[in-house]
Amino acid sequence: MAEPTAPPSLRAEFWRGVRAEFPLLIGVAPFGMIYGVLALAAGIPASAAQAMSAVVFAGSAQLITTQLYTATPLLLTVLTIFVVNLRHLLYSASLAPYLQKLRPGWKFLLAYLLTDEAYAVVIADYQRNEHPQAASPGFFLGAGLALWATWQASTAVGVFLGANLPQNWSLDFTLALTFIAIIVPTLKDRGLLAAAVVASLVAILSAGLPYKLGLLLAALLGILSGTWLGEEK
Amino acid sequence: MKIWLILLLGGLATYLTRLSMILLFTHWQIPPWLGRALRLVPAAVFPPSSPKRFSSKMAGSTFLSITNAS
Repeated sequence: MAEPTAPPSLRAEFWRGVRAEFPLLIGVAPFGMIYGVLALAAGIPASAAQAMSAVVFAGSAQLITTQLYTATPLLLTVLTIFVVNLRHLLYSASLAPYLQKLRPGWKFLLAYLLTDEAYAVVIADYQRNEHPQAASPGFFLGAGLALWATWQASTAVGVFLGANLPQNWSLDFTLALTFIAIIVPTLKDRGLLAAAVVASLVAILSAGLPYKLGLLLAALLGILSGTWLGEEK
Repeated sequence: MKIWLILLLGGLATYLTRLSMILLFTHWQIPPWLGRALRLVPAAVFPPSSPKRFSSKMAGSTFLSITNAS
């Protein structure tokens, strides 16, 4: 066991990453399609909707953009994207020790592929490895690219569907279900639950505020109360 | 035009966030209080933002939306 063996090839690690990511792809594909449909419904051109999946590559932020697009000033929309994606700071910090020895090129590439779904699979695999320095970039690349390809393809399908759906179809319900499906399983402790409940209540009460400020206010108060209530054990 | 700016700036902000700690990490760790707060972000952002806005573009589709008041 302790004998140093030849590390698995980059290619083998790549395909191991693709396989590990596979179960998550099934959940991501409908999400990408819904995004594509909603982007068109919000009046975003198909080309921009598809490009956003490649450039921003963050499902939740993209979905929120479709809702803010028509009524919110540009900088506030960008700020919302930034806030929604702040959690990647944590992912970035937690993966950093494993990527420390890699060439800068790897770091720039893998950072682009650092989504929730890739992070979940990659950190689980890296933590099983006793030696952080031995963590393989191939595994990350495989998991990340599998998700990337699925996201681009499902966006394309959604954009195609969106252009062909009857205009009077309601997608409110679908979107609400998607958010619920994503969030509810993650509300595992009192802090998270408090954040969700307080943010929802504040959003309803502050719905009259202009520029969707209610949404940011709701997020801030939700985080504050979640932090506060999460402290007490 | 606006959407392309959103896309570029939002993409840049997202990429830099993802890259930041991977690149900067030396000895510094995220303080626990900040970690706890960041963990709550999705829970505080998604539920309130659920059904909204675009329903106004589709006549007759405003049912089931608790946030129609906005």
